[in-house]
Amino acid sequence: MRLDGQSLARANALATALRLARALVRDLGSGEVPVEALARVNALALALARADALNADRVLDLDRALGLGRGLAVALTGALNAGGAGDLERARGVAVALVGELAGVDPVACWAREVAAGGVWSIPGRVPGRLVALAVWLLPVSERSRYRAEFGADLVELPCRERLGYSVRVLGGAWELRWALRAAARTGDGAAARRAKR
Amino acid sequence: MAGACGPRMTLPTQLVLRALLVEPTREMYGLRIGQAAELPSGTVHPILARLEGCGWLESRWEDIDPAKEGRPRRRYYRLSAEGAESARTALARVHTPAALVRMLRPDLAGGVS
Repeated sequence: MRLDGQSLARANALATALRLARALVRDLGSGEVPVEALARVNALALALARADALNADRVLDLDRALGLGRGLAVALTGALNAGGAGDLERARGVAVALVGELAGVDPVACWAREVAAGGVWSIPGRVPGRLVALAVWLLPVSERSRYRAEFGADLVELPCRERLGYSVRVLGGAWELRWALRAAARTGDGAAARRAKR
Repeated sequence: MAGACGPRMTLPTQLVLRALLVEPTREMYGLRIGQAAELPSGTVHPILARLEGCGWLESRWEDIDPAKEGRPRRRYYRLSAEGAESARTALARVHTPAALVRMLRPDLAGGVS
């Protein structure tokens, strides 16, 4: 599969956002707010807004990244106004979280990484991402974020040609995983109840 | 709590345990465990969840800065001390013919004794 125009533009916007967020992490780690940081945070907001505009079909879940982008702008403004080390560290923390969000959630990471590297233009996310998202949705709510991140990390590492097979097998095993997780939770609850009775 | 329950010793479960027992203290993430056990990628997580639920496995998030590494954190798994013992015992008892395991995974067949 090839990236269509919209997916390509969205991937480019996300790659730009990721690059800017990483630069901000470096900027804010220096102990002061360099002038470039303001320009970067504005450019980052624009890149995220562009990615969001190109995500009208909601293929990607960008809500958290958008929230972190807004939070970063607020935190950076606070750091500039107050100038305290705590404010700066808080802003850097938001930037780190944004990098993790952009780089750590499939299929964004796959797309962004490949676009940033100028590498293969296949779509690791569209179908595999949806299959993995469906698999995660089948799991108990309390376990979803863990397995979303775990499967996402696996997908990022896999060569593009293996991602579809991986995601199909993950989806195929989702019920079994759900059953195993619920059984483990029951065992844990039972053990906790036994401990409480003692 | 290891050993309080026992996972079904299916052949894939045996292969995962044998792969983990090659170096019981070594941490591996799901993709690597699947590769070490020579199981198709994406099939090991239910097995890992069962083993973790029984207390045979411990897991933790990798302690890295994703920004610096340029990749997401991995979830690392390792046999617990009791889990390694339970796994050895369970594998020794299992009825799967050793010849079958030797045929499927000759490199792992002798790795648990």
